[in-house]
Amino acid sequence: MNTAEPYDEWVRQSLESLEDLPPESFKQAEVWKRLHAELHTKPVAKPKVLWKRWVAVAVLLFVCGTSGIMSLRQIETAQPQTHQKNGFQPIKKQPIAVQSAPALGERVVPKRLTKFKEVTSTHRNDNSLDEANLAATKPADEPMVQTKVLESELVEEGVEEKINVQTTENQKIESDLMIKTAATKPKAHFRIVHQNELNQTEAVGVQVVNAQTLMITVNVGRSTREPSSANDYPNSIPLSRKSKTKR
Amino acid sequence: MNRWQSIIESCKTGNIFAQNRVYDVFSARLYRLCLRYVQQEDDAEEVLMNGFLKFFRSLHEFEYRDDNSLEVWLKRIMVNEALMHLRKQKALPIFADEANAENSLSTEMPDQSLHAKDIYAAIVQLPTGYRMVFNLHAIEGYSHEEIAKQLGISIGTSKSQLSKARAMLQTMLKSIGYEHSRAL
Repeated sequence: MNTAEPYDEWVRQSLESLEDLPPESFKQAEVWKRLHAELHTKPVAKPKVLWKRWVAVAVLLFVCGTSGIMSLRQIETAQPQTHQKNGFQPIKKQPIAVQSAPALGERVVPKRLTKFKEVTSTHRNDNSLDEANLAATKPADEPMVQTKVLESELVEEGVEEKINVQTTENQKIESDLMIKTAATKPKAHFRIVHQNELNQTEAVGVQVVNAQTLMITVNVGRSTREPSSANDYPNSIPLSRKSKTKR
Repeated sequence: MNRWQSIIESCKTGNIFAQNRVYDVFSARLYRLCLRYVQQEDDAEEVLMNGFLKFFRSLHEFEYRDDNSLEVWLKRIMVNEALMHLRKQKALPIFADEANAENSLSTEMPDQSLHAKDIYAAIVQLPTGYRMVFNLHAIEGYSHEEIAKQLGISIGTSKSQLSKARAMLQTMLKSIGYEHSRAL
């Protein structure tokens, strides 16, 4: 056994007897005042302040959010009114109109098809062209003498008189085709034809222009004025390799 | 519910009367404890006040087992505060002296009629290093490992400081004229 332990025990017991005696120098009340002041100023207030701050932040966010939503709604309601004031009306969504197909006996003639487009690729001073143009620019109301010009097959330059004989079936198909062409409005394509080809077509007489339309062109007689030589077409441009290479 | 247990629960809610009750019961003996460590009365009051503040603020961590547990916890808080105070003042001059002085301690026990106040006064007059180790080991019951950790010294140093403190205390008590009786 260590000899120091009873000595330590004796000291401990002696000091314990002192514990209940108030120390002379100790200012108990003064220390308590300071302690009380420290205890009840700082730590208790902290959670309350934090709680209030959170509430304030939440209220602020709520107010900002509601005001933002309200302003957005006001803008949405004010927009049509301003359009009405300015004379504008908002475009309303409308369903796409479905046009019913015309009856079989009905004849639909779009206005645009009666108009010829200029053929710029061939510069010719042919009177037959003028005649053809005149025939084509007639109003659509004249049913009998109307010439049908298919944009893809414009071959009949130089032909002075052409009579289009159309069967009843052809009329129906034609009317259908016209509806189609009016709806799609394709660009007119003109084929550049050499003069020799034109001569050949004249010789053929009857020519099937298009398989779909079954349009039969009947050449009745000959033109009053047939080009006999190359001098008749002073402005014609010969289609040769040189001309292509120059371009 | 125990009386002290209800007082502690009231203290947790910030009840002033309960806090005052705890302070009244424990402040005197804790003040003595603080004075044993820091020597100066003003410093002892400051340490006491800081210790009580820490106690009341960390009371939610305290688990009540019995009445003694409250006093032990309070004493531990005060000791830590006192040591922290001494560290701030850089007043912990513990010299590394590995020489074991336990053999130099007299086996004679002091007279039982020795007045406790004189013993207390003798302890307070011990040098800081000796006083720290003596208080922690002989009175508070810390082990040498714990003392070494708390003061940042080796275990050997703690032991040597303790034996030297005991020897010095004996000589101090002799010098004031107290007779010693032989230990059993």
